[in-house]
Amino acid sequence: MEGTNTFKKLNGHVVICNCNEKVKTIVEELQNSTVQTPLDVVLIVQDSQLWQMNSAWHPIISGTARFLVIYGRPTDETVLKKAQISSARSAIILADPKHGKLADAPSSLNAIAIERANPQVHTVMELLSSMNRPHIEQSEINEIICLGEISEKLIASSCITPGVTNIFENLLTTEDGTPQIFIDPIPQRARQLSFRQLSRKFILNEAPFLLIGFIRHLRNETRIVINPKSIGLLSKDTPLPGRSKLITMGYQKPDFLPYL
Amino acid sequence: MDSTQLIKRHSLKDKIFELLEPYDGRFRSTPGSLIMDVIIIVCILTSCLLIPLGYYFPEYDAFFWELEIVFTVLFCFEYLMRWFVSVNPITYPFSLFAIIDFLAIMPTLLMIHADYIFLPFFRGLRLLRLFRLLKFIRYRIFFYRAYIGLRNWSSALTHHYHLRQMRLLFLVTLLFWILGSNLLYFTETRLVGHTGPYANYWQAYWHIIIVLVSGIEDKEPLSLLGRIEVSFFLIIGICFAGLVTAELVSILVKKMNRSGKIQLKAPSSRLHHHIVIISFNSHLFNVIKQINAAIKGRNQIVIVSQRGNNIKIANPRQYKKVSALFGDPLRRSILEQAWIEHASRVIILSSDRDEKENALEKDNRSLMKAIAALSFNPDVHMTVELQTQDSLRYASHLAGVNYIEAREFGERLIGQAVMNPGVTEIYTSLMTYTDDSSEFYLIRVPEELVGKTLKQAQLFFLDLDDEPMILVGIDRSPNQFPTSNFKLNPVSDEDGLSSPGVLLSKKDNLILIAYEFPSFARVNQDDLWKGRILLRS
Repeated sequence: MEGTNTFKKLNGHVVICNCNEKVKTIVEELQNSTVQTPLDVVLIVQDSQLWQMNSAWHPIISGTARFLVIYGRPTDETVLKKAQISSARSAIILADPKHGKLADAPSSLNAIAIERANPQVHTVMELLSSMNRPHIEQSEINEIICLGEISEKLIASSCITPGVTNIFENLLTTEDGTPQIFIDPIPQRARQLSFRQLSRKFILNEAPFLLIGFIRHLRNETRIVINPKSIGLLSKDTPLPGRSKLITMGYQKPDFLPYL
Repeated sequence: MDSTQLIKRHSLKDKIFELLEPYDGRFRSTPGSLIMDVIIIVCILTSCLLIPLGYYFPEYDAFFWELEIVFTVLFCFEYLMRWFVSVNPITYPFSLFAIIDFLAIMPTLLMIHADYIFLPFFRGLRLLRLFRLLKFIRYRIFFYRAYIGLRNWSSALTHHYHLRQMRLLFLVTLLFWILGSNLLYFTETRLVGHTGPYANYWQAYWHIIIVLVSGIEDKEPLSLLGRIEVSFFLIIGICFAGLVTAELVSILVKKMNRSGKIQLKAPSSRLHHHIVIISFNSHLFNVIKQINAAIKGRNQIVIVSQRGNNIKIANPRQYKKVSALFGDPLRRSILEQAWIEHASRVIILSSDRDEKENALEKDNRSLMKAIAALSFNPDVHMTVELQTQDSLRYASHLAGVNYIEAREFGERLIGQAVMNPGVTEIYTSLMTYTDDSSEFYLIRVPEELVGKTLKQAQLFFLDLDDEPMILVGIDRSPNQFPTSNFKLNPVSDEDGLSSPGVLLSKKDNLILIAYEFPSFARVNQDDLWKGRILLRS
């Protein structure tokens, strides 16, 4: 379902800049998620011909969530306004196939334009060359996903622990009956409890999720701790203050309170 | 259940066990166990050497006998310690190695009482001490590894320094030296008598070697025939000097040409439990980096590629255990040279050599390489990088092969990053091997947890402070096809595999998030020796 230029008011939607073969799966994942509310998606396409020629890239829309297409340059302020970037939840910047292997530069510029238009939006950028990662990490882009890096890491992981790719595949799938990793703020009642205490409570109360780590803010730094050790500054016995987040593995977004 | 039981066992009885039986289902052989192995091997050799020495030097018999008593006491102590740490002390004395150990000490124990009952068999009993040579059977892996290591080292040296040519050159020089010295000696003594410089037999050797290696005449023969012969050897000497110089220059040039490139695999080097990476693309270096970070360069890596002779590297130190084999991976002779039938793992990268090839063609090429590698080693764990999801549909017919189609993972990860902001870093951390990051591991259920519920096991691992790990799932797949039947985070309202009340059996595997392969995990000896398990340290 493709939209016209007249959109109703959007809120908490996802803006995807550029189109390539990944659009179909991404949109379907966002709109068919059994874990979260399906999200409205706005796609900004620079090359209308490229989009129309590749019907295999078009997602199949089956739910109530909307999928809208805008033609124009994603760096253009008016186009971003039309995509209602100011009220968007996230922006995904895909590599434009027109630029080939050099798409990282235009993608970064798109991301910068989006961050300027709405600094609160969560930006996710597709990176082609891992060599460019250190430069792009200096910008305000929130998450950078490089397929090459994923491939390398998965190949090595699969080589060391055969079958581990199935575990990642299982975790990354949003289909019903597969777990995912969630990051949520620590509930008020759990503040000042340690990882060990929280884990014990969740296991004993048969919570449908597993606590696998936490995120803590130390001075100006955000530290992600998965499988905390028993010693050190951020150990499994360190009390978790209010600003911490819990990393869990579960089938649905966790509701901590009944299990505390 | 107290989780410290496992740690205590590991710190007390297991430590002695590990010291004495480093290869028995353990994935780590500590420096202590290596020293212990060497001490026992030296003791066995020396004690066996005492037997012939006793015959040749009967005057030192008393001293040898005292040494024999010392060795026997040591072997008795070793026998008792092995018995003490054995899994089943009742059946241990009847095991093969226990019988061998007993045979090693029995003759001396009998000899102590031989004066009374076994005097007629005394000499025979002394010979029976040679039974302790059987103790070497226990150390067959040690010797095998030493042999393979030495052989690979010598073949690499032969290949890289042209030692075969140098050896041939040396042999020919030796032949000419002996021939020339004898020829000159006989010519001179026959024609001019015992007055010339070549009249002394050993002096002739000295003069001829000078002629051969320096190409200059040392002492002039007196006879005409002798002079003709020396002239001939002078020419030969000049040729030798030229050949040696040429070989040395060739070695230097070859070394210079190969500097900054991955070393080539020596044709005769034998490989076991190594990792074969077939084909080349830009992912190669990071894959090697990841693998080396995970296994600390423990296993050799061989790259088989048509660009194998020209793979440039920035830091040769990081590639000490990496070698390249130049050739088409689809040729059987090339795969044979890569010792693929003895490889622990095979990785097939999607080659980017031919830019005109589309993704499907690249995948087909990769799959053909997978089929070729599997024809040599059908049980090997294989990872194949694919470009398209279409290929996955028919590729799945090759059972037991892991396929990586990064696009699929990437698309899903992008979706997850939107729904759960910050999640990519967690996935990246779980996929990366460093000393400070956790990864997924599969281990057999430890004996202490057999019959326990998953919930009990989770609490057990929560309190295992020496090695932090989180139990996240259970895997009930057959050994050949890991994670084909597994469940992550089993929830309470489901039955069977997914219930937290499920009882863990001996055949189950646990899926853990840990910093490294748990040290207490008892691994199957067969899996270890056949390289099905790659060790981290």
